[in-house]
Amino acid sequence: MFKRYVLPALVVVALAVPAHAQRSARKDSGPVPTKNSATFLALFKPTVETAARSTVRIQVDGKDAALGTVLSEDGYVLTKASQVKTGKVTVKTRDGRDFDAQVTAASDLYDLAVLKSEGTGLVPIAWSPSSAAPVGNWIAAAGAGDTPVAVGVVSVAARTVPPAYRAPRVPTEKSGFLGVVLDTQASEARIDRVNPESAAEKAGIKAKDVIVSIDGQEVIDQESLIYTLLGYQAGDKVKIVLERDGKRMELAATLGKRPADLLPPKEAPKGKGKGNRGDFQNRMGSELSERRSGFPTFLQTDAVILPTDCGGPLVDLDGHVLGITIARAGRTESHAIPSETVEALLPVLLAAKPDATPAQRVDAARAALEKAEAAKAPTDVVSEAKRILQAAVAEEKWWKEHPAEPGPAPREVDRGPAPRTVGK
Amino acid sequence: MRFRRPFALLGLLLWAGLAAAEPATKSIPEPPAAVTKAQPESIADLKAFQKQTRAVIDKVIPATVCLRVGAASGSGVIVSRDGLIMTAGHVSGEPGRKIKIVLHDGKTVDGETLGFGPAIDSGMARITTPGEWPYCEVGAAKDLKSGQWVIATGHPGGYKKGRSPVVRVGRVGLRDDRAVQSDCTLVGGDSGGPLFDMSGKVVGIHSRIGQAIAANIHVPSDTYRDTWDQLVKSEIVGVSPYFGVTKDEDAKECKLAAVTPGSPAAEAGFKAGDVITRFDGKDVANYDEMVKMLQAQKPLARVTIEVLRKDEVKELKVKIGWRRS
Repeated sequence: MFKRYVLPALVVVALAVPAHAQRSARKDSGPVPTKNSATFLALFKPTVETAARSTVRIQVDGKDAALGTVLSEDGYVLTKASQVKTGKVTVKTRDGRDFDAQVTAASDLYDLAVLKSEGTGLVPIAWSPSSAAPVGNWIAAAGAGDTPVAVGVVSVAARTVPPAYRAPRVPTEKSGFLGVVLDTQASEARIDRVNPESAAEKAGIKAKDVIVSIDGQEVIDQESLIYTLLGYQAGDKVKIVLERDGKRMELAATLGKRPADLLPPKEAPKGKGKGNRGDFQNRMGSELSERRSGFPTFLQTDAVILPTDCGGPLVDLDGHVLGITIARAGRTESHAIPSETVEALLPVLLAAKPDATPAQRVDAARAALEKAEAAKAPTDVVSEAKRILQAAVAEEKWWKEHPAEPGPAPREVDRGPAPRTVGK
Repeated sequence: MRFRRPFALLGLLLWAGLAAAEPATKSIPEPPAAVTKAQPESIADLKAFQKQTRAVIDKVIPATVCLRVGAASGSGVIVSRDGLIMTAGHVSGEPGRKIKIVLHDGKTVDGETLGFGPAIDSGMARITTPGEWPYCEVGAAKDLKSGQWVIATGHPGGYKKGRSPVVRVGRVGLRDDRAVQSDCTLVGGDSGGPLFDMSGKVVGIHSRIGQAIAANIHVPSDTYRDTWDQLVKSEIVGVSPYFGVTKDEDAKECKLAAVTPGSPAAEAGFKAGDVITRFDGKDVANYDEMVKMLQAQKPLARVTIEVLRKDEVKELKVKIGWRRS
């Protein structure tokens, strides 16, 4: 039912090029050159000179988990949230110092976490607008050393992806269900059959109709229809615009329940799932980040970055920090959250001090939300601010109701140990 | 409705401006030394390099398209003003299929598949919606040197709303007459997309990948130039006509000993024991004569064949198949 992407038809296992083919003369890069060859990476040293001073290695339980970007002289560091979810977090500076660190705030949506380490004398990063680096410009991912961890070019400028296209949504029992079979020979969302008694039949959808939009969200192909519908639950009412015999018409549908036999089998262990063909190909040649999709706004590069090297600054040839590397997302792509977005989100993540009382957390979160709204921050940043406020309110309520409890308080996201200093 | 008209007109004007007579790539400057030397040596070299990259992609992105063939999705590049598209053979597949073509800005136009070369994975398609289109020049893959820089565009994972064609920059590693390898990473959906040299000429078409991150294989552009007319005429390149019958060695006339299951002959209803008497309006005396007539046919041609089956004359229509020569 999902679209097939062709390439894959002919996956070769080895380079099937005859022996008389020309070979690269370069010694450091083996038979074929890559952008991550040692000499090419070394060429980019000047670009990361400044940013690398603000880059730290993040370890979890003594193992490399991510890179971190220093936010303040007194030990605040930004990193990839999903890489520091559990375990003992350590910040290692390039001058060889180790500091314990705790997650003080996190955004699940952007997969960014703020760490407070006991570090001092750190060098905070200076952000630059990502728009300064157009598509085709060279970029380098800074590491904690002199040489970048990867280089490449901007493949796609920073863009905000509509929610329906963010992540391959997985159908659940609660997912809304229209009850149509799509015409697999068509590229558009053309209906082949309407299931009897389905939401589609009740709404008056007929075979050969082409669905154009759902609640104003444009449907461009079969995949986008499926993803858009997966954003709804059974019982939701949707407005469907469709084309029938060249005429546009609008219908109202109440989505039904997805039949049990159309639910995916129970989830396989993380990273071990069979996945589809696209996923199989994306995994060829490099290791991918566990969390690699669903970022609302990101910039795409062709740099081949290790999952444990995400969370550091991404720079252009002038050393301008365009954003923070967030994921090795596929065979052709690594993603970065652009500086503009990071700068809008940071006040929200830095609002509450680690030693704040629950009441102070609520006040700080409310103030951050108001500021974000006043500053016309991106919708997704505002929604993160709202979510953090809700969590703070819930936490404060819990403490009020359990004055004698030692904690920990309930948390929406796992962001390290509960606040130790309690108001009462 | 009153507001529609001015917008439509504006669209028309912009579009007219876009459709220049010259290939879009004509105005790209010659690559600077930083691009052609064995390796850029300084930040200044890299800056000169990226300026060239931008000059190329400004012109070639508008010519990079997504091909929707049935429910499958691949990439392609427009190479003539009237909308000829180079793609991969496994994207376009059988000639004459109606397809949708998504332009770089998300606008969808109609198209059809033309010829393809299954052995080398070359393919061609055409925009059928009337218009003039931004197009790229085709270069020579045989001139590519190992270590030479190239640019790839395409739609990895298929066309994604709001995402421009995805740019990758890399170097050619191995090359021969049948394949070009580079470290421009490719994945499903990229198939059929273009590989450019640093002056914006198409030197390859994305075809397949291997396990290694640098194992990205492109069809050399030369094969398209060499077989251009055949591809444009919707022919299948590098194949022989295929029928799917075997000769009854004991018979003097053109008697069939067997019909290969699933072959064009089987599909058309031929049976073992049939005697072919006429082939495309011409009398057939023996098996070898029939084979000669078959060899003169083009794959996918529809031919009427008369057979004698148990004293009964039957007229069967066969669509000639193909197999790699």
